[in-house]
Amino acid sequence: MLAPSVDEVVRASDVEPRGPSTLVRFVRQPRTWLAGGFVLLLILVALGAPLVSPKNPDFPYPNGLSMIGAPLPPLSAGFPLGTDSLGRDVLSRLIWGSRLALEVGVGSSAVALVGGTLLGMVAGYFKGAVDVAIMRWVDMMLAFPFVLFVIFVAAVFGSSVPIILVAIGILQMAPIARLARAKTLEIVAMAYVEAATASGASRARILARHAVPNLVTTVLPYALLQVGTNITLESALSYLGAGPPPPTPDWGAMVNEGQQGLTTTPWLFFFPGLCIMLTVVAFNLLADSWLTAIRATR
Amino acid sequence: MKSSFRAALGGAVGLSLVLGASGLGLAHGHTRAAAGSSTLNLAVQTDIPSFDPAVGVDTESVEFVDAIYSQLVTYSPTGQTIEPDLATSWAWSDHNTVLTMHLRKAEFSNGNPVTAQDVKWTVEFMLNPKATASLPIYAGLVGAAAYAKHPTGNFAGVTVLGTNVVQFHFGQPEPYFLAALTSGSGSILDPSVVGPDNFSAGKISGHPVGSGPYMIQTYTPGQQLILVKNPHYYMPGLPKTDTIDVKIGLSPSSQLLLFQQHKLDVIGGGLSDSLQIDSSAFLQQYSNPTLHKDYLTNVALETYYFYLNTQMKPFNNPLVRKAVFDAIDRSQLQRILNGRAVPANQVIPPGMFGHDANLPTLKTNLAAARALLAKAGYPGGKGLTFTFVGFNDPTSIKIEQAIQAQLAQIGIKATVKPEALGPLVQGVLTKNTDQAGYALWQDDYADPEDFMWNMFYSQNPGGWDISFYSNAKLDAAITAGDTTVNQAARLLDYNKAQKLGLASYAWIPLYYGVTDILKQPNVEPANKLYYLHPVLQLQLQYLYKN
Amino acid sequence: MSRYIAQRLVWMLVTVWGVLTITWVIGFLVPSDPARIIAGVHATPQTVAAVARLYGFNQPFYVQYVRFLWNVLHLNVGTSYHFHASALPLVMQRLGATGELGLAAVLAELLIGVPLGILTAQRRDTRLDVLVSGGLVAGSSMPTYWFGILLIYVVAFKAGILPVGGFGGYGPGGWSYLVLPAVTYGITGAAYYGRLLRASLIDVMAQDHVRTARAKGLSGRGVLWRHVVRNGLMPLVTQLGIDLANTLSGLIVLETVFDWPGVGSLVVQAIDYVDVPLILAATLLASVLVVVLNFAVDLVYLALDPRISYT
Repeated sequence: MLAPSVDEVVRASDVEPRGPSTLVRFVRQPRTWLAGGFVLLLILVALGAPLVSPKNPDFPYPNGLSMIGAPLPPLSAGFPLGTDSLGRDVLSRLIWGSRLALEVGVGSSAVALVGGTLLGMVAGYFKGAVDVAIMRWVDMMLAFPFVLFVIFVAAVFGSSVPIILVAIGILQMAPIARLARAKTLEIVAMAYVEAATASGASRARILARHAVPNLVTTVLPYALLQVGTNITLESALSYLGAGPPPPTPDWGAMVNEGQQGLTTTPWLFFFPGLCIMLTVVAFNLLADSWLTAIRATR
Repeated sequence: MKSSFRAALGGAVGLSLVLGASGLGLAHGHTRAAAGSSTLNLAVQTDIPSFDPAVGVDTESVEFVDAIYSQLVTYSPTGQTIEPDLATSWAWSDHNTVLTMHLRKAEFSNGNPVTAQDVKWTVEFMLNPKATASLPIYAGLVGAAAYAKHPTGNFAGVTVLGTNVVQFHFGQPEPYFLAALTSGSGSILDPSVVGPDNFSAGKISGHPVGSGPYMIQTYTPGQQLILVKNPHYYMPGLPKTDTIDVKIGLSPSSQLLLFQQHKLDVIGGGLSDSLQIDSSAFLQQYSNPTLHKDYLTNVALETYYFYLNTQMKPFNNPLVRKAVFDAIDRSQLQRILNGRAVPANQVIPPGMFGHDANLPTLKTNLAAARALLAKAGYPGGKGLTFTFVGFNDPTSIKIEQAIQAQLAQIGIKATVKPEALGPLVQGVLTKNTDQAGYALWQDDYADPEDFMWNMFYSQNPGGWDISFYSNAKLDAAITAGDTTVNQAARLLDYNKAQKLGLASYAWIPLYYGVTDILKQPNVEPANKLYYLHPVLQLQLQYLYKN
Repeated sequence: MSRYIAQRLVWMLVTVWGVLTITWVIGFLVPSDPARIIAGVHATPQTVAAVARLYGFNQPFYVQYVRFLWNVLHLNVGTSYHFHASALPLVMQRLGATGELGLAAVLAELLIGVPLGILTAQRRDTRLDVLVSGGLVAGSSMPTYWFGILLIYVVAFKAGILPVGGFGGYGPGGWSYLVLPAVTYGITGAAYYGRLLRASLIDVMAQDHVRTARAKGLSGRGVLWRHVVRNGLMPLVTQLGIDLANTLSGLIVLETVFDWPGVGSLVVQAIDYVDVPLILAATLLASVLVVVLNFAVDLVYLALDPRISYT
């Protein structure tokens, strides 16, 4: 996992917010375009799956298996990336799988972003017992055997996309809460100083004017970085059997299915994993690029 | 290059060289079995759950329970007749309610003699609730139920007439009792291994002592099991191989690779939970003619079926049931399983007594299915949705998805819910939980009673009538078959029962399992009955390497 | 200080208790009858009822919970449904294998990540930096299990150089089995430390007192080792602690891919069977490990930098 430390990000954002400049610096980097382009393409494919997908991803085509039931290799007629052990079109399943990846990746990051920021803000603003309680909960989350827990719950109660999304989101709230809290503490200190020297403006008004944009700038790249992590996490959970119910096309589950036929049908595990990798690289590069843009003054 | 980096790089390279060098040598991290004697090399995917015959009834344990223990009777190689094992002769009397058996002079692997008293103790142990015995093969003995509640005092169901003569007393005739005795649950235990007041499954499994062809030399969970010849085994000339080395924890792809490297001698069959070599292994041998003669296959005594809960919507409607019945395409399922499945047309598999050779093949009829749906009030399948449960292993999930797609063809929207064994079992046994499911019945012993009574008999509380279908005529036919001694009459009873069962459309037979193995060319004998015995699976004691 | 330790110990106990309780509750809510699972699929209702009485499954949940806690204090986490043996020893048996793999995996991470982190810090913003950093990002973006399968396919299956999976014992004969899993984890996890080290080193190198030391004429190597690396390593140590929980999760996947007979693969099996006692035993072990190791890391951090107070 690629997450920078809390200290690093807080210090990096330790300058007066220079909105447009940061954005310009962000946009100036070539990797922003490379990664951003890929992400855009992915979003288009995911949204347009019904149109882009050549075949029905869930249908076991009779001509998708050989007479003895062997899957077809890539570059077979009608199946550019081959078929899986049920005769389903791999390319179509990969395309539809992008929907799930983005849904869970972005969705869980959003949950983590909102929840974590709120928790951190509350902890940093109110301090005292509230702060301690929230941070203790965060510590417990970090010590929790998460993967174990999620696959256990999935095995018992069944799994679904919303459940996984929320579960990952809750887990990832912890590091964001820490970050938001540290930043809030800083901002609150500054706000007091400002309030002491300025006249009239209430603490709340100052916080709203300075805190929120600052907080967002700090936390956003972290959340963006989490998209990649969350997609990987979801695919790992799927690989271990806690993914959405069959026959939902899911890249992690496809790698698992593919591993069983490793010696005869290696393409089945390779392509879905490649998709995950490229997607995660793109999001990581974007987040990295943003962090560099923030840091560029140093 | 900065020297600090050079140092770190050097360290990393050095370490990898060392690791690589050790890897280029033979990768034998496991204990070597005794050198000089021949060794059979096998592998299993998971730890062996238990060596206790009372609970070790699952596929993974049975193979080894059979190697360590012996039973009163066993099967002939073809599985068609019962043969002597620990018991050399037996006779029924008193209208087939008393079974008298004479035992041979035999010993356990620790030298203790096997006596009639040991047999009685074993039965009492199996009935004792603390043993948590899985198969109730002794439940029909006189006083069994009472003894199970209060396991003290003398158990009248078994009497000892002499050191080597034992008698079983039944409430009513049990023509399938001898068949049941051949299973692992019929193994005879040595009472001296466990004290009378402190026995439990864990104790016996930890120190298994039996009178079978092998005994355990070492067992390292997660890694290795080594079996060695039992010096006190009574069958002359057996076992043919002195040592068996079983590697534990290898996935099917690892096993295939090791097999190709000639490090494993036999894969598949009773060593695998699915009783088969996996799909990749099959496809590889299929495309490799030199492997064909070492690939052996046989029909397994198991039936895969799809059941519909007659007590829940929408399957309380027989029209809907028949629609689903007609929509299933067995040939597609067979294809997905690489042809290693036999489309089924009844519950009792071929190769087993009770199979009705006169029943017609079941055909797919989508037009008829659609018409039935319309008649039932679901034109085009509109509004017909249901959830079905099933096992959660990869192959089962494949079949479940295939069935789901087949039903989608007539417009039915089915949701698949693979479950772990525990919740699955609980769900199917509770009346209003599961609407339908994909299920499997595997034989415990080769008698139709095992199938029919368990699966269809509706008055069996906690039984496996998971369609909750009740038909008095069906029940009567089953009872008749279970208690009639005349085999011809039994056959007629079971034929009648099966026809009635099929007519309900509550159980949809899908396919019969096929079991197969791949062996090295130098592993003998080539007789598939020793590898793929219909009931006893892999008969380790007959195998040897040239 | 001793107050701090006492506070931490109490909190550690509370955390373990909390995790265990949540897991127990879920285990209790499992929609299956544990007596039935133990008795077996074919058992009669009488047997099932007898088993239920034997294990106390029909008692009210609070009685069962208290009994469970009481047993845990006596190091008894119940009997495995699948293996019919005491659960905790089954898990402990596998600890050695997991420990060996964990050690090798983290070592691999550091062996690859630290040198590359130092290199990219020294050569910041050069072509080499971009290339290596990019490589690290790519490496860490790969799903661990996918990369592991890829290595198995290419190195073990196609080239036949290393074993496909499994465990070879603790001695040198078993090291060849460690290579692929360790390298997999190392390459996918190296970026974590490499990037961290790079950023931290760059910060430290820019600090005034380093510049002063350079100006005074201290040799490049001396400056690097004495000031930069030692201070730059601090975040690494912190992250090692935080990384522990991640590592345990990562080991679950790693052991599954490589058939490694550790606690992780046992847990996956246990969940497959919904073998609640085994799951509880593994959860207990995992949470104890994480809190204890975290505590140890914090103590080390405290010793390294007395400026930081924990009151």
